[in-house]
Amino acid sequence: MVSSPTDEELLADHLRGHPNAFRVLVDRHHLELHRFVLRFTGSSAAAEDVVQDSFIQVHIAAASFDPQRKLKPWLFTIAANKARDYLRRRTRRREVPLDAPVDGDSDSDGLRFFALMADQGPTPLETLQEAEKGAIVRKTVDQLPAPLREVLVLAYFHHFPYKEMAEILDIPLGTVKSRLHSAVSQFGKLFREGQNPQGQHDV
Amino acid sequence: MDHPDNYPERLMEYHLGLLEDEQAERMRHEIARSARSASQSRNISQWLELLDEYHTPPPPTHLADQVMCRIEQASPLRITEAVSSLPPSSKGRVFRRPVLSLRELVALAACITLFVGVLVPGFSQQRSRARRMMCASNLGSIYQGVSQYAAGFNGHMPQTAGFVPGINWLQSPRPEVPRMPNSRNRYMLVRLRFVKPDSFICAARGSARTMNADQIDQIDQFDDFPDPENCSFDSQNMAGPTLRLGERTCAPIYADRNPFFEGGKFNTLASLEINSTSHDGGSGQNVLCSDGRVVWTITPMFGPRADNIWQIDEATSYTGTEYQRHPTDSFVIP
Repeated sequence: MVSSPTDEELLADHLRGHPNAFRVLVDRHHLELHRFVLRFTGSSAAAEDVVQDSFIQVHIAAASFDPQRKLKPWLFTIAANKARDYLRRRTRRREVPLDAPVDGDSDSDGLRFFALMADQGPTPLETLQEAEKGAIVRKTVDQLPAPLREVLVLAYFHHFPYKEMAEILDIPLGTVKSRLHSAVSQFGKLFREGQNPQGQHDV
Repeated sequence: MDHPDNYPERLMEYHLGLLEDEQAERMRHEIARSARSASQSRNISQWLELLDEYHTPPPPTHLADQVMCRIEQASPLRITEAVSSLPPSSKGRVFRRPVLSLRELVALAACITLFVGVLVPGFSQQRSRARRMMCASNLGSIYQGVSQYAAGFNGHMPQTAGFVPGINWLQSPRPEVPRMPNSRNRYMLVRLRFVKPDSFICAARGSARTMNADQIDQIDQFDDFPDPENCSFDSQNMAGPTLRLGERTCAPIYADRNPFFEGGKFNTLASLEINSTSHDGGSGQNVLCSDGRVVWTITPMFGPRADNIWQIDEATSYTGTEYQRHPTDSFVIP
């Protein structure tokens, strides 16, 4: 059986002038990269631009890529940086205060995993009408501060291991863990607040 | 048995697939052993499953093509980089020779002439091709916007001009007759934010100008593109019957500029089968079909009836009141 070439082999082929190698890379990754950037930025237009710019960056910097590393985290690193640049430029975006700790100290957080674990009420999805589920979840994720949102998206939707998330985000592994924990608990907190706008927590 | 302090976090990591195999196995065992752990696990799982409801729409179908177009345009950067990254010893060998003899100089000049003769047309062709693909990609973007618009209007494209009696789509010889060009229909896609203004630009057309920032700020104040060169494409005359989008035939709905109506007036041309002048003065044209395909054609005789996309069957001259009688008769006008 002939196995398909790895990403790293394709990039090397591209550098050697193989006409279709880069196209295969683009076809292989552009959908997932688009989903990542779209969830991170919340903007379809930004996602399109960032995906294009990220592949251009890979193409331009291909010669400097260390073939011992994996290409996919590098591609996501570039995309995450460009997405952050976009968010910084977007001044109209409403930011919520970063009131969840992101440095590992989660004791001050009002709603920790214990609350989510101990929930005895209806399941979160049962409280939502079918049509509004996606919209509310999307809004809740969008309300997360960017450092929490990006780690949640990488971990949950793209299944990156801790080590690669640390590489993509250029932060220590321990910070990835603490941000992920904060992201999930913040998500639960914001979701509940969205369900109970008067702040009437039922936990 | 009490759980360690970080048990909730470990449980979450278990559900996210972030634990090592051995740790995951221990967690599985713990969940199977204890009803309380199983209940907690279910709750965490339900919270995380909420995220499954965060669906994202797929990207435009032409996204990969757009990337490749830009890669093609960026190619010289890679060549520059590759040359500059040559090992120093290689460069040193070339320039260590103290003097070139006359014979070597002549040979060098001949080589340079040959290279220029071979490579420059090659680069020029590559640039033309890249521009062509970029313009085709922009037509693909327009199709996305047209489709979204048509989805709410029973498959029909925007229509704001052309059906009003006494108003011409071309400037009438009688100046008192008002004009509503077909481009107003295209502008509606910009005004309603279905298509970005940049997508109406084809860089192959030297005179193309994108809308400036002030104009974009006032996008709702206009009924048409502020400058005719803000739109490098013409479209099917909406004053006559048109096919609905999505029909399984390649009926042209957009194309490069119609060469018969450059300058906003009818220009009689010697040959009826002339191409758009947008690409290298007339090498061909991109045509966007009603089924979403973008086709590069080197003749204007195209479509379900292979008729001339710039003309309608029965007319030989135009005053701005003419329209096609059949939806498959293509008539792409400004």
